Amino acid sequence: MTRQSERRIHGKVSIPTVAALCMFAAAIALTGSYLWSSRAPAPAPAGPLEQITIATNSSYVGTCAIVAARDKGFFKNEGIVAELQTYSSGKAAMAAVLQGSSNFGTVADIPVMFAGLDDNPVYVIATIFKADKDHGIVGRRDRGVLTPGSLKGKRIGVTPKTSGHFTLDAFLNRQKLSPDEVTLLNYKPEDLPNALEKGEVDAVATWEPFLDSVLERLGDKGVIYYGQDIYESLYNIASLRSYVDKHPETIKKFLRAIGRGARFCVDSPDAARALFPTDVKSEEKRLQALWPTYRFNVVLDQGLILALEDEARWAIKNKLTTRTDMPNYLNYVYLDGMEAVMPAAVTIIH
Amino acid sequence: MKISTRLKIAELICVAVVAVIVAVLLSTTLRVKHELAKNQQAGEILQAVTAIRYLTLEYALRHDERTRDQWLLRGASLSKLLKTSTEFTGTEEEAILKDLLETHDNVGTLFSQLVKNHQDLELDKQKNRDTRSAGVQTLRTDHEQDASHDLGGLEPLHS
Repeated sequence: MTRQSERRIHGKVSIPTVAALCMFAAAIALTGSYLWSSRAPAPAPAGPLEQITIATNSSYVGTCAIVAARDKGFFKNEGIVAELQTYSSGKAAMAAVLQGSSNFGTVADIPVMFAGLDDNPVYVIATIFKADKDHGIVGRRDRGVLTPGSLKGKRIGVTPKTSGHFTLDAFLNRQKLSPDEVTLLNYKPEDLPNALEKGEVDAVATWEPFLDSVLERLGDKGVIYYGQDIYESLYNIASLRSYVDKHPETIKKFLRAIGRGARFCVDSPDAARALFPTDVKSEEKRLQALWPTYRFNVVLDQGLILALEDEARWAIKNKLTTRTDMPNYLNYVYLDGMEAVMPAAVTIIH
Repeated sequence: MKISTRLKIAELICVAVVAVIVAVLLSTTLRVKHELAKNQQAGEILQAVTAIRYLTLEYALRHDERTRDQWLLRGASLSKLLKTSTEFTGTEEEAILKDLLETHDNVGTLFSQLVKNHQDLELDKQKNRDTRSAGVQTLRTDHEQDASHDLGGLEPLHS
């Protein structure tokens, strides 16, 4: 090969080199587009922030999606300022929603079921939390509560018409006991620990976060029976129909924010647990152990409707309502918001 | 043949091979994408059919308004899905889809009959209840008339 021809071959850019360069450029472009699509969320939209109020019990772990959305700025990113109003039960939160003093309320399924039986104009816009070991019965060993069956003839503190009441009835039923075989005493959820400690009752049926505070206070004298396999707690967001109908865009923003909040609770369990500070070390350990069993997904499940109907049958049978027919719970679920924001999370048949 | 010519031919062959590989990759990607979309749509149809079957059984068991409403909603969305499906383009697939649509229409008619039968049954029950209570009312009125007639024959009480 002459020196001239060698220069000609090496001097020109060969076609495979051009092809390789093109492929390299394409790879860069693809990487760039991937990075762009997975970039940090857009900053808060311009304009005034929208104020919303949420009736909730922010010390309850089931509110993780909401507390995270507020503390981590997910609400703000959607142009919302969320004010949390503290209520000790879902029943009280639902009352706040119905009175119009809160735009949203976090409620278990039982208050929604009663809202249906009472023809109250509310919607569930999403379920934000599910847990199996969230409800239970705490008894005093020194009062003879040694086995589930030994609840027979005992005085049990409960908040009527709540998920605690439903769990207790189902639990007694599982032990082949009828509600008449125990004495039910009516207490507010926050008064149950004191009532048990003072000995006014032999056992209490309640839910987190009261369940553990009761057990903690009793120490060795206490025994707990969880309601797993009996009752799955479904924690929901409820709102007045008139509010939802007038603010469909706010609902979407709200759902996007709590969706990110729920993701945070799943992906960063340590940081999420830090949102629920506890003074007691054992409580911290317990929360850590239970965390993997908690489901923080934002969904609208067919199971919700079936649970509401089961509970309505229980309420009708136990004469906790004057109504005798089943409400149409499909009318108590707002599908459009979740359909627009997280369609894959909607399993309600429609 | 000159070395430079040979090199050029080798380059061209390389380019041709690369072009063929790219074309094959592109075509495979498109094919896979199409099959995935088809699979997804088939999954949606299966899900809808399962839901319809489940709701039919539930309605037969409880005759709830909610179940009926959900059946009608799902029936309409399945019908729309079958009519607007664009992924199934083969003759055989189109025939299956047409068959599915016809079956779905028939199932819809049967479900309407099931709902109507239940409503008729409820109406009959209500009519029977009304007739029974009207009969009791008539008996009571007759009895009261007889009693007042008997009383009319008595002497008035004196204080």
